[in-house]
Parts: sequence; structure tokens; C-alpha cells
Amino acid sequence: MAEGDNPRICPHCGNPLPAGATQCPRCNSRLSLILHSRETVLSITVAIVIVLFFLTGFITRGYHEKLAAVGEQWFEAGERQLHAGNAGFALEDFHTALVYRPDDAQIQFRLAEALAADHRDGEARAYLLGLLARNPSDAPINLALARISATNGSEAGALRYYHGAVYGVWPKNPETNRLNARLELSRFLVGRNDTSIADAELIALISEIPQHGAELHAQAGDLFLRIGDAKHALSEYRSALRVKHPSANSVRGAGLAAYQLGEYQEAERYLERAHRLRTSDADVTSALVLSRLVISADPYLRGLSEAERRTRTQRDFAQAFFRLRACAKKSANVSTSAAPQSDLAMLTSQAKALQPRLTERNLRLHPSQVNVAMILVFAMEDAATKECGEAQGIDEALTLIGKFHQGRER
Amino acid sequence: MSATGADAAAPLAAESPPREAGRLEQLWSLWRRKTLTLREGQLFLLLAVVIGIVSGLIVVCFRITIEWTHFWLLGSSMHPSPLRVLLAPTLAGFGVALLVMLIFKGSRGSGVNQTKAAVFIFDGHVPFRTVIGKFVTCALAIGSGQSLGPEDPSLQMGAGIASALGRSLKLSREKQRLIAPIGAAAGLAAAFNAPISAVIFVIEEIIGTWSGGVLGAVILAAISSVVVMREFLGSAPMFRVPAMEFRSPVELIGYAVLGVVSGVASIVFLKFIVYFRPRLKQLPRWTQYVQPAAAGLLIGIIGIWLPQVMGSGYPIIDQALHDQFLWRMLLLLGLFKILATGISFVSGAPGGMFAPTLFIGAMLGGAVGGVEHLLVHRPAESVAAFALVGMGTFFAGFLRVPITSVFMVAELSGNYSMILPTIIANMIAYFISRRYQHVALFDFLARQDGFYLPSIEQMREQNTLRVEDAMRPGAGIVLRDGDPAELRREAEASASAQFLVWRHENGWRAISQDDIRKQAIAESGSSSEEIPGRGPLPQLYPDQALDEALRLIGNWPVVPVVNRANLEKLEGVLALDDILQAYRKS
Repeated sequence: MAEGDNPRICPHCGNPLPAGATQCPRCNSRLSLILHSRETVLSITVAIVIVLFFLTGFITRGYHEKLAAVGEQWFEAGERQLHAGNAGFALEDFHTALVYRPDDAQIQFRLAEALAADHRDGEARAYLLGLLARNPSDAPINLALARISATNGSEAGALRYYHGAVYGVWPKNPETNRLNARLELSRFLVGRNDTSIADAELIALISEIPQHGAELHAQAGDLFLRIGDAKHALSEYRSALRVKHPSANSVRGAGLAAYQLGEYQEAERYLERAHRLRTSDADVTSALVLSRLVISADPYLRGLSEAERRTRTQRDFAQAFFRLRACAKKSANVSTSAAPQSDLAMLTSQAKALQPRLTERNLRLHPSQVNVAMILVFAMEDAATKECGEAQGIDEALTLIGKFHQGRER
Repeated sequence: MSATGADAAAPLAAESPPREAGRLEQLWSLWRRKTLTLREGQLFLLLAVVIGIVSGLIVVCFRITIEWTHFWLLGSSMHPSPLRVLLAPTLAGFGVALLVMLIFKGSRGSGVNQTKAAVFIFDGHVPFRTVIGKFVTCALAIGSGQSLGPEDPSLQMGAGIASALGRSLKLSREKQRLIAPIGAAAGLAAAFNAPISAVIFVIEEIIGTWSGGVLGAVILAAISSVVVMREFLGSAPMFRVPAMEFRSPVELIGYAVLGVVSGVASIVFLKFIVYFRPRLKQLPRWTQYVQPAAAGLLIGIIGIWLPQVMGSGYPIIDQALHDQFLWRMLLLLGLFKILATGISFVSGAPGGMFAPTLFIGAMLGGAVGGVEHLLVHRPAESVAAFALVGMGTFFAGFLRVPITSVFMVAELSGNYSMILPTIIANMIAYFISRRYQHVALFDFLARQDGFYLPSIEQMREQNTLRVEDAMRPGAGIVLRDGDPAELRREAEASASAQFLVWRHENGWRAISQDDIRKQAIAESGSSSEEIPGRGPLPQLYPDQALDEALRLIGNWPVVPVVNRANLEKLEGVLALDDILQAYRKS
């Protein structure tokens, strides 16, 4: 085929080659050769990659900022709902926030709290365990898990996580939060009647309460009182009462604690104050009445004149003997058991024997008779209580004096 | 001078002609050639890294664009207003249809098939227009709430970028064909934040063979893209999986049930697509402009009650993994996601199937876990474990990629404790799916689009014929080397026309009756000289593939099959007829 019949085409640019030319002048130009070499294409590609890299960086930064802003917006909405007590709505908001900030531990934590508030403990626990795996020493997570365990009645789990909260890391106000966590743990243990562990935790707690923490002292006192540790309770209430305007609850607690300890004068003082502060209830009234009776009947009270001590002894003896006789009479009509009857009879005969010796003159000459008489009084009250039921009024006061006195002697 | 275009092309393409240049220029040219010019193999590896980086960047931008579109169209709430839920996918669907029908015609579908077609039919050519089209249309479709995912489009975009780079660098045809899967792996790895799964998927579904020539480049590209993606979007796994563990083999019963449920569900989903897709495609052309919009409207209607089924659904999977739904809700979400994704996909809206598949799997898994929790009183975290395993199980049943699905579960979650239940449940789902739906999804879609691509599933399970399947015993053919006269006597006594002789110095040689006769005439009865024969012959081994034997056998009438431990020991012989016979029988 003749050359001119079919013009040759450059395979690269597609343009016809000039007659007689073996190479395409366009493609073979210096510029074209440079532009189409692999090195050039690669260099241009690298340049494009660099530009694209910066462009993507710019876009990504804007994207992350937007996500953060949207996440924050939903988080705040969730917080508002949670504070308003709408855990269900808060959940949705936190979920949405988490879509935009999936690694935000704070949102996850608040979501878990909202789940727990919505009684979805299993889901809350799953979130919290995931968070705890990432940060085992995080005290708020431990506290939230402790609360879930406590709600579900898992004492071992609650103890473990409460201790995690007490000894863990708090992002803000570590001392106060630690105290509150221990207080919550103590409250949980007291609620479960686990008195020995609760007492230990409370003793550890009071060592950390600052002097000015009147409210904490009062709360610790309440808990001590609930587990029957009146000594520590009174001490805590006293600390709580050192502030300028103590709470009525502290006054009430101090009164009851003092009453339980047999410190009736102090108890009367606090209980009267509580009565004035209108925090009076049945416990306070009963304790106040009894305290007053004890104070009026106790011959061992410090600061009494000898004459008053003798008068009280005679009066207490007469009261106890009267109760014994009444009880013996009642018992003779009703009871069939022999042993108590013999106790009552024995005590009656002892009282009859002692009664003539308890004259004013005799007691003045033999002050030791006061003790003899009072021991018999306590025995008579005990026997009457055993046989005829709980003592009331002055008899109860005498029983209390007896217990307190015998305890002090022991 | 009469040179054809092709003739002229060779010198043009190869080297620049000698030209008048200064000494400095000559020195520069020499140095450039010696130091900068890469061999194609080296260039290919370098290119894999570049492809990975570019794909990673594009996928990052793609994901961000989807999110922005979502904000813009549906707002940031998880429960958008009903009006938005109805209008956004409907109007966006119409826009997508216009773009796909008029501007970006290659952007329909998921992208996996198109990439496979590019590899097997178009020499790895993926038009760059498709990359742009996929980016724009998928961002609009997925962002507006169509129930599709961004992974398969990312795969195709990666392949498109790779193809464009390969073309710019004028790579050989063979390398051009290989470069598309490299880009595909890079795109998928960045989209999933899972390089291992992406590599395995590309090998398992697109290339079909573990070719050493491409594996290194695929891995390099996948890792590069993931590194880039993590640089911009963070390195956290796609799902935050709560603490879970596989405690006792008894639990496998529950996972086996999950395998059955996922297998059945994947059949339902496959049948839905198999039934509706061709029927919708056969409708008049104008309907294709409104099909994605109609699909959007239907999804919007579902979305008013169940907004969770809209879009890719990753946040919902995360919630399911954290035990946020009761089993009835999980079941409902799984079933409606099948419906929504089926509608989106058959309407021709561009977008992928990976994310919806994971969603459905997680929901069904969670539902099975929830029921099991009620019946057996397993710990609450077992629901999350079932959701996690369910993702892989449904993936294995629906997409028929059992190996990828196992690795994917581990990689996406960063949790390797559930591998055993995943394997067992996946296998059950896979076998159920195979039993009741013979053609895999991607093969079916390709055939509907008019491409008869090789079925990777069939390729994977095809028996490779080996030499041992075709060889016959060598009795009567092998002659003992030694005394030529005796050799001649043995040959004359045999009925065979061809013989094999082992010689220590030059291996196996072929001797024919003719050679023996000619030697006899030349020697005139003397037996002093050795019969030379022809050779050395190529030697085959029983375990060699038969197609390899076909290439080696050449024009030799018969070749020896020897023991690998003892080359003198003849296991059999093989002739061309034997090979053909074996292929006919297979």
C-alpha cells in the first residue's frame, strides 16, 4: 500500500503523522515527552496527593468540629432532661450525642446513668463495664456500678465498686467525693444490717470528716445510731453541734444517743432543745419523759445532797415494792409457774425485811443502806418485768437506772 | 517507507529519539534513566502505595460527604420529623435517578460486580467518570436515607482511581488488569477500617485466586489506605464491642440456631432481589427515573415508625451491641431492614450491600440472643455476642464470602474471642444459602446485567485436575539403560513405538523404534554404541496441575511422571491424549 493512500496515525495523540515523518511531532516535542514520562506522571500524582491530603485535612477538621458541636448540643439536651427527671428522653438525647461523639467517655457515662435511672440496669452495666475496662481506677464509674450492684442486691459487687469509688480517682473534689462515696457505702451496709462492716466503714469515715463538716458528722451520727453504736453517734452529733447554727436533726440525734448511753441529763438537755425546735416525735417524747423520770428518781446522780439521795432511795424502794406486790398478786391469780412465784415471794420477803430499816434516821446513820436498798429495787423491778411485762413510767426509769448503774459497776 | 501505525508506535512509546542537546542535558538524561526509571514490578508496588493513599483520602471525603448530606437532608436527630423522613429520600431518589440515567451511567448498583467486570472483561478499565458518579450519587442516596451502605461504592471508587493511574502510567495490559483489584482492596479497606477483610474479600470475590504477583500489592494498598483513613477519622474499630467471651461449648447450640436463622433470612433476602430486580428493570425506561424516588418514599414510610432502618445504620448496630433493644424490636428491625434494603437496591439506587447486611445480621443475631437469654437465662452480654456473631453469619449467607465474614467480625469489632462461634454459625448459614439459592448474589447480578463473569464460588470449589488423574502406568515403555544390544532386544520385544530411558548424565530421554532401527543399520550389527535418543524430556510430578502439564508437554509424544524424592523412579507416563481424556471425563 502506498504511503500517501492511508495517512498514518499517532497511537498516542491520534493525530495524523506528516508525510515522511517517522515520529509524531506533537508527541515527540520536548514538552510532550516530559509530560508523558512516567516520572512526570508520578510526580504530578504525588503533587495531587499532597494537595488532596491538605484538602482532606481541612474538610476533616470542619467535619470533626461539626460533629463535636452537634454531639455537645445533644449532650446538653440530655443533661437538661436528666436533671428534669426525664430519664427516657435523656436516653434518646445521649444516644444521639453518642452517634456524633462515639468515643466520648463522659457521654457514655451519662448515658449509663440515664439508663440506670430508667431502671435499665443491664444496659447501664454493659456501658459502665466497657468504660471501666478502659479506666479501672475511675471513681465515678465505680460508684455508678456500685449503685447498680446495690440496687440489685449484690453486696459483694457493691462493696467492690464502692471501694473502687473510695480509693479511685475523682476528677473534681476528690476528698468530698471520697467521703460521700464512703458515706453511701456505709448507708448501704446499715440498710442491709451488716453492722460490723458498717461500723468499720463509719469509723474510717469519721476520721476523714473535716471539723467543719457538720452535716457529714450528723449523717455519720445517724448511721452510728442506727447500728446501735451510741457512743460514736453522740461523739459525731457533738461535732455537728459545734457549728453556729446546728441542725435540729443533730440536736435530736444527740439527745437520743445520750439517752441510749445513759447520759440522761445531757439527753434531757438535747431533747428539750429538739422539742423546742419542733423536731419532736414519739421517740424524742418518750426519751425526754424517761430522762426526766430518771433524773428525778436516780439517787446516784452527781450533785445531790445526802438528804435528797435518802429521800429518793425511800421513794424508789416504795415504788418498786408496790409494783412487786401488785405483780405478785396478779401473778398469783393468773400464773401457774412455780419458779417466778418463788422469786417474787423471796423478793417480797426481802423487801419486807428491809423496809423497816429504810427510815430517814437509819439511812443517815448507815449510808451504805442506800446501795442495799437500790440493789433490791433493781431486782424487784427486774422480777416484776419478767413476770408481768415491761415497766412503764417511773418503773421503767428505775429499770433504766438499774441497768446503767449495774453496767457502770461492771 | 511503509510503516504501519503500530510499527511507528513502538519506537515512539519506547525511547525518545536522539536529538541535539547540550552535554548537561545528556548527563541529566543518563542519570534519570539510571536512577529514577523504575522497572514495572517496582513501579507496581510503588503505585499500590499511591493508590492506597489516594483511595484512603477519597473514602474519607466520601464518608464525610455522606454525613454532611445526612445532616443537611435529615438533620442530626435520630428521630427526624416525618415530613423530612418522607421527603428527603423521595426527592433525593429522583435526583439520583436523573444523575444515574443522564450523566453517570456507570454508577448504578453496588460496584462489586462492575469492578469484577472491569477485571475480567475490560482489562481493568474503570472510567474515572464512574468514580465521580459513584461519589456524588451514593453520597446523595445514602445520606438521604436509602437503605444502602458506602463500602461497595468505595471499593469501586478505589478500583477507578487505580485504573486511572494505571492508564496514565501506560502500564502493560496485564498490570492494568491487576491494578483494579488493588484499588478495590484499598477502597474497601478504608471504608471498613479493616485491611485484612478487604484483602480477603478482593481475593475471595474479585480475583478468585491467591496470586503471588498481586497479593503483595493488594496488601500494601489496603494498609496504606487504612493508615490514611485512620489519620483523619481515628483508629477506633467500627463498632465498640462490650466485654464478652465464649464460655462453654454448650453455647454453640445457640450459635448453630443463629446460623440456621441467618441462612433462612439470607435466602429470603436473596429471593427478594432475584425476583424483583429483573422485573423492575424490564419496566419501561421512563419508570427508571422514578423508581429510586418511589423506593425512597416507601423507605420514608417505614422510617416514620422505624427511622433506624434508614441509611447505613452503623449507630444502630452499635446500640444493638450494647443491648439497647429488646428481642422483638431487634427482630422487627432486621425484617424491615431486609425490606428497605431490598427496595432500595432493586430500584437501581446506587449504594452498597455490606452495611445493610451487617445491620440485618446484627439485629437477627441480637433477636436470637434475646430469645436464648429468656429461655436459658444466659448473662445479658450474650445478646451483644449474638449480635456480633450474627453480623458475620448473615454476611456469609447473603454475600457468600465465608472466609471474609469470619475475619470481618474480628476486625470490625477488635474482638477475637468469638471466632469459634462465628465460624460455626457462618458455615451453617453459608451451606443453607448455597443449598437453596444456587447462584450467588454477585454472579446473579452480573448475569442480569449481561456479563457472564466467572463464578468465584464455583472456581473456588472446582476440582483441579492433576497429573496423577491422567497418567498411565509406564510398564512396557521404560527401558533399562546399559548394554545397547539388550536395550534393543527389549525394545523389539515390546509393542510400544516410544520408549523412555533414564541416563544419569542427562536425565530422561525418549527413544523410538525408528531410532533403534537406524542405530542398528548404522552399526551393522555391532552393539558397541549407545542409542542417543532425544531429550532431555521435561519431567512431571503426580501432584502437578494438569494445565501446567499441558504447557510442559510440548511436542513430546510421551513424558515421564516421576517421584519428587527420586527422579529415577517412574510413577507413570503422560501423553497429550491422556490429558485430553482426563479433561473430557471431568
